[in-house]
Amino acid sequence: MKFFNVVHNDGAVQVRIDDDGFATLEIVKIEDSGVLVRAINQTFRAGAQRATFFTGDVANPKEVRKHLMRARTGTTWLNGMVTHLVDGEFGPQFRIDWVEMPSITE
Amino acid sequence: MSSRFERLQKIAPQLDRLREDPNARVHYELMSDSLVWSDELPPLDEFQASDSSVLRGVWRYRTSLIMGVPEEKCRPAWEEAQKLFPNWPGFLPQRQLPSWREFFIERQAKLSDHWEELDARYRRQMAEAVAKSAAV
Repeated sequence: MKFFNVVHNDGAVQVRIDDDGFATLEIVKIEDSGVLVRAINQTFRAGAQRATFFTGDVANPKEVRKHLMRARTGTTWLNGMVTHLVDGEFGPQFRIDWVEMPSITE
Repeated sequence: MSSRFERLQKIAPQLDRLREDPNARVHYELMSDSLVWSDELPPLDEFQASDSSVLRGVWRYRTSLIMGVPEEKCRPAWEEAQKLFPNWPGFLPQRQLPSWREFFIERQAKLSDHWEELDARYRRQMAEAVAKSAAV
């Protein structure tokens, strides 16, 4: 099992990679897109083959609209399948599943 | 899942110990659609992302105060947080001022555009990779 934090400027994502190559990414703060790109790439380089990204409660109406649309229509985001999990107190929660870990040009 | 109060209670001792950093940076945070200062969370190795997500409601409420339209669904989280960790720098009055509105709107628009571009960029990257392999 590997566990690491990816920090970029003031944004942060926590990553856990199980022994079977399955990674879990959880958002602490997103202050620019660079933190997620780095988190995905570091997870890929650390040996993860598959991953799930948990958003937690999304209180941003614009993000909610886009993710709900993707979840309803099966439209991928960064090649990952978007699923609407539950409606949290501050907004819907989503998960993004990658059956194959992406790598994004930085 | 634990109740909001339990989740706030869990992180309260750490947050109440935090002190204002005079050099704290402010930024727009996408998931909470809020302004967040850099001294409002403990070091990353001392807490879990899932524990901090309850703060999205607190940050969101503070930003709604800045914007002059309090978001009522987040008020209970704000009020409970004030009781549980009153010394948290996030409650500083100067972080609730309407003078932050313009900054919030500008940063929100900027990050929204960058975030939107991320998926488009990835799709272009994939299309280029496919075209390249087809050409070989």
